[in-house]
Amino acid sequence: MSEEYVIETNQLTKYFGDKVVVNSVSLKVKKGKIVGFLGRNGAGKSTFIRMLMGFLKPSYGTSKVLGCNSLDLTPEIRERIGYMIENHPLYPKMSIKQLRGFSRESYSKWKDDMFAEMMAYFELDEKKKIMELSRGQRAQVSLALALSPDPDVLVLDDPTLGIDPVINREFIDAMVQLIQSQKRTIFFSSHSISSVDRIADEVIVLENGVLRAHAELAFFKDKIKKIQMKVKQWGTEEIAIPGVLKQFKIDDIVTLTIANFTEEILNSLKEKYQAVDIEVIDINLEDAFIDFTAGNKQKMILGLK
Amino acid sequence: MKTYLIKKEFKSIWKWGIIATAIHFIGFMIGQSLGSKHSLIEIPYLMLTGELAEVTSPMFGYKSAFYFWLISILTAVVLPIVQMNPEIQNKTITFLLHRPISKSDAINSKIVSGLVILVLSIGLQLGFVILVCSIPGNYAAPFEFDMTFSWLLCIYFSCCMYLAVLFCFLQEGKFKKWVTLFSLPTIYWLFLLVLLHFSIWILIIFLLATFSVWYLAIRYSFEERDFS
Repeated sequence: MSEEYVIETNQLTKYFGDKVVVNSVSLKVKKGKIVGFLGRNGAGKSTFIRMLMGFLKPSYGTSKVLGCNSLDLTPEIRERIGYMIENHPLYPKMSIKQLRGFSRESYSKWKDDMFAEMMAYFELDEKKKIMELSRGQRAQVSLALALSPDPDVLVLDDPTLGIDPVINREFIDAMVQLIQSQKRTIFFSSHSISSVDRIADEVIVLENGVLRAHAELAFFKDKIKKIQMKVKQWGTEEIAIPGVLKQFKIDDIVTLTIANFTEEILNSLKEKYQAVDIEVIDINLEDAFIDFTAGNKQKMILGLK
Repeated sequence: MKTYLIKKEFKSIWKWGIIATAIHFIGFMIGQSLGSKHSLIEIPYLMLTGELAEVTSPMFGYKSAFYFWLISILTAVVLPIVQMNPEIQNKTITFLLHRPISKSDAINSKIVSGLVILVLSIGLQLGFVILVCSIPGNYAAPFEFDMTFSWLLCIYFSCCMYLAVLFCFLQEGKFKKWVTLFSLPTIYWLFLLVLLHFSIWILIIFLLATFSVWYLAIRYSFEERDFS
C-alpha cells in the first residue's frame, strides 16, 4: 500500500437533496504536509471532512485516507488518524480524567504523559467536567485527545471556531510546538486565515463545494497580486483580462486584484488600456483569500495539482 | 466486544435503570393491591411475611403482569431513545465512532447494556417474588417455575420491543424516524396481541424469530447510516 499520498479524493461529490454541497473534488495530500483548508461558511469544508472520515457517504466519487477507502476505515487505520471534530463534541457529563481513561483504553499507542503535559500547558483541571468548560477549553481538550494517540495524520475540522483571539493564538502555538517535532500530516480547515498563514505548507480553497485552489502557500500568495495603475483608455466597462478578481476605479486610478499574476498580464494592461505608473503590490493571505473567494466570481482555478 | 465501551454505556443509563425498576415495583404493587383489602403501602411487607395469601396465584398471573407489560413497554420505548438521542444530537456519536473500534462493537455495547438494564428492571421484581414464594410455609400454593411464564414472556417481549424502537430510532430523517417510531412498534404490539389469541407457542416462535431480525436490522441500519 503506497502511502506517498496520505489523503486522496477522486471526484468526491455530495448532494443534499438537489443541492450539491461538495462538487467533484479531486485532490491529493502528500505525507508530512500541513494543509490549510479554506472556504467561506457553507463552502462544504465540514461535509468534505466528514466524507473523508467515513461518517458521510459520498453521492459520487471516492476518498482514501492512508490508502484505505474512507467508508471502510478499519480500527487499525482509525488509530493512526487524529480527528478533531467541528464544535468539539465530547461527553458533557464526563470529567477530563474520565475522558482520558476512556481514550487510554481505546488506543494502543496512547501517550498519557503527553496528555498530562498538554493539560498542564493549558492549565486545565482534570477533575472538571466537560460541561463546566468553556468552548476554548473544550477545544484544548479535543486537541489533546486527538494528539495523544500519536497519530500519523491529523484532521482538524475548524479547531479554533468560536475561540477568542488570545486562546486562538495559544492554541495555534501549542499546535505548532507539538506538531513541528513530528513528521505528521495535518489537514485542517479554518476560518482563521492568520493561523493558516502561520503554519500551513499548502492551501486548499473550496468555494460553493468546488475546488478553487490547491497550491503551496507561497505560490498562492505569489500568484494573487494587487495592481494599482493610471489608465488613459478606460470607460465604464470592466477590464477584460483573465484572472481579475476585483476591480475598482477612483478618478483615473484603477486598482485590480488578479489571480495567476504574470508579466504578460502587465504587458497586456499597458497595451490595451495604456496603463502607466503600474505598481504591483503583494497582499497577505487574508486579503488574497477574501478577494479570491468574494471577488468578481470569475471561476479562476489556481495551481491545481 | 470491548469491555470499556459496555462500561461507558452502563454509566450513561444506570440512572434510567433505577427509575425503571422503581416504576416497575410500583406497578407490581398496584397489581397486587387490586382485589385485595390491603393498601398499596402494606403490600411489600405482607408479601414478605406471607400474609398476602389471597393473592398467591395472581402474583404471577395476568393481573400483576398487566402493569408489568404496560410499564415494560414504556421502558423499552424510552431506553433506546435516551441511549441514542443525546449521542446523535450532541454529535458525540462521531467522537465515539472515531475510536479504533468497529461500528458493530459500538452498537453491540449499546444493545447489551440496554437489554441488561431492561431485563434487570423487570427481573429484579420477579426474583423478589420467586424468593418470597419459595420460602416454605410462606404461601399455601407451592412455587412452581411455570408460574413465572407470563413474566418471562413479558421480559422477552420487552427485549424485542426495545430492539424494534432502537431500529426505528436509527432511521435517517426526522419524519421517517418518528413515523416508524410511532407506527412500527404499535403494529408489532397489536400483531402480538392477535397472535396471543391463537397459541402461546406461535407467539414464542414469532418473538424468537423477530428478535434476530430486529438485531440484524439494527446492525445494518447503524453500519449504513450517515452520522453528520
